[in-house]
Amino acid sequence: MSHVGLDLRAISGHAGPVPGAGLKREFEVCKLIDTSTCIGCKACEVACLEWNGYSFSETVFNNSYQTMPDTAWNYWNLIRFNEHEHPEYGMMLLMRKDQCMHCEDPGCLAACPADGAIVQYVNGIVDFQQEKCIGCGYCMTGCPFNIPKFSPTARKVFKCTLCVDRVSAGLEPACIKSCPTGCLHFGTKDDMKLLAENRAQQLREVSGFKDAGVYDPSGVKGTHVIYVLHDAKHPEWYGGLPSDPHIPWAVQLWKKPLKWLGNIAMIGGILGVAIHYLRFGPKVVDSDEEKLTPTPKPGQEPGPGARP
Amino acid sequence: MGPFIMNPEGVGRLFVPIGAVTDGPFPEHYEPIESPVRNVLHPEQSNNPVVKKLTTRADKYATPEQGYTVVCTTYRLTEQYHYWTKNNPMNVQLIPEPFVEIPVELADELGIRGADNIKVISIRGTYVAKAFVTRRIKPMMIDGKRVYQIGLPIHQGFRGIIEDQGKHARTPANLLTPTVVDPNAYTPESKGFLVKVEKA
Repeated sequence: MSHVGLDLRAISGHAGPVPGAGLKREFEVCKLIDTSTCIGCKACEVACLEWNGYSFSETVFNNSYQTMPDTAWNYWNLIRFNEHEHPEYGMMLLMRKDQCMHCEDPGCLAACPADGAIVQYVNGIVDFQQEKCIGCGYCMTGCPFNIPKFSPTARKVFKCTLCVDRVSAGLEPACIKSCPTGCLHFGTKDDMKLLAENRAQQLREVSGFKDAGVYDPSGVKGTHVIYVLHDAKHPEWYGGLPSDPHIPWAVQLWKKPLKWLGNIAMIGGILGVAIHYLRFGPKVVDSDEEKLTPTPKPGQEPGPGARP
Repeated sequence: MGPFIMNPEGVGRLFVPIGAVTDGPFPEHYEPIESPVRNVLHPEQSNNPVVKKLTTRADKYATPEQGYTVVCTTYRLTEQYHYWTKNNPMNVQLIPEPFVEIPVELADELGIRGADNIKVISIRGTYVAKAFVTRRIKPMMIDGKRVYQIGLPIHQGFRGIIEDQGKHARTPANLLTPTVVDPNAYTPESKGFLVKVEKA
C-alpha cells in the first residue's frame, strides 16, 4: 500500500512523469547507526519482527552470536557479528545492523519492470508495493547490498520499509524506538549527517580510532541509512559492507542504453514501414511471380502441401 | 560530585570501620576457592578465610592437581533476561541453543570445531552444549603456566520452549558453579571456578 500522506519521487517501470512530483517539498529522513555504541542485544531485530507482524522463526546455533546467516524475506533486520583482529586496536567484535539502506539511487527500483511495484517517496524511503509485485526477482539483482528477499510462499519480494507506516504518522521506525543504548538515531538527513560527523570526530580525537568515519556511499548517491564506523576505510570488516557500492553494470546497461536502443529500434521500424508505404505504395503480387511457383515433377508424389 | 555518594564524607576511604565488613578493615586480594594458582601475596592463605561455603556432600571443591585446569566463568547475555525469557519465542530465536565460548587455542588442542558438542566437567557436575570457538578469549600466561578461560552463559536449562522440545540437555549452568559466597555481600563465586573440557 502506498502511503497517502507521502508524495512520490520515483516509480518503478513507469512510463511518463511521476504524478504529483515536485508539488511539495519534504525533509529527507535518515537513520543513523553508530556501530561503536551497539551492544548487539538484537532488540531492534525483535522490534522489527513485532511491528511488521512476523513471528518466531526456527534458528540454529552456528558458532556466532548472529541470529541467522543472512536476512530473510520475513527477517528484515539482522545484526552481523564479526570478530576482527586489528594490529593496533586489538580484538574487535564488530556489530553492524544490516537492513535496507534506502539508497538515493535505488538499484532495485531501476531494475524493477513492474509499474509501481517499487516506489521512492520524496522523503527518501524506498518501499515495495507487494500487490503490484510480479515476483520476477530483478530487484534482487539490482541491489548492491543484497537486501530484497524472495518469499517462496507469497511469490513476491519483501524488504525493510524504514517503517514507512510509522514515519508517515510522525513516529520513528520500530528499531530506533527499541534501541537501549541510543546507538540508533532517526531524523532529517542533514541532522543525521551532522550528528554522524560529530561522533566520528569524537572517535578520531578522543577514542583513538584514527580512521573513524561516516558511511554514506556516493556510488548510490548516498543512502538514507548511514553508519558511523570505527574504520571507514574498511567497511568490508563489518560483515561484507561494500566499500564502493554501485548498481550492477548489467542492470545499468539493460535499463539505460539498451532500453533506449530497443525503443529507438522499435519506433524506427514502425517509421520505416510507414515511409516505405508512402514512398513505394502497397506491395502488389505481380503475375510473373505466380509463374515461378514450382510445379511437381512427373513421377513424384505430390507433397502434403501441394495443390492438386 | 564525586563517585563516593554512599559515604557520609563524600570521599573514598583507605580502610573501612571495624565491624562493617567481615574480612576488613583493609582491602585484600584473595584467589577464588578454586584457582589455577596460589595467591602471590600470601601463598599459605590463598583464599578468603571467612568465606561462606555450603557444607553438604554435593559441595566439593577441585584443585588443578586433580586435572581441573581450565578457568570457567558464567555470565548473562544481552539477548536474554535470566531464566525467564527462554519461554518467549522471540528471545529463543535470538539464542536458540546453549553454548560455551572457548578460545581458538583450546579448541585446536582438543580438536573441537565451532558448533561441535562439548562437555564441561566440574567436580560438581557436567554440562553439555555446543562450542562457540572464539578469538575474543585469549589464553593467559599465569605463573609460567598457560591457562585457558571459557565462558558459560547461564540462561538455558531446566524448562523452556526449546528445553521442552527435548532438543538439548536440561542441565542448568549453575550445576557446575561452587556454592561459595562472599562473606559480606553474599555474591556467589560463579565468575571463577575450575573445570575440564572434553569433546562430547
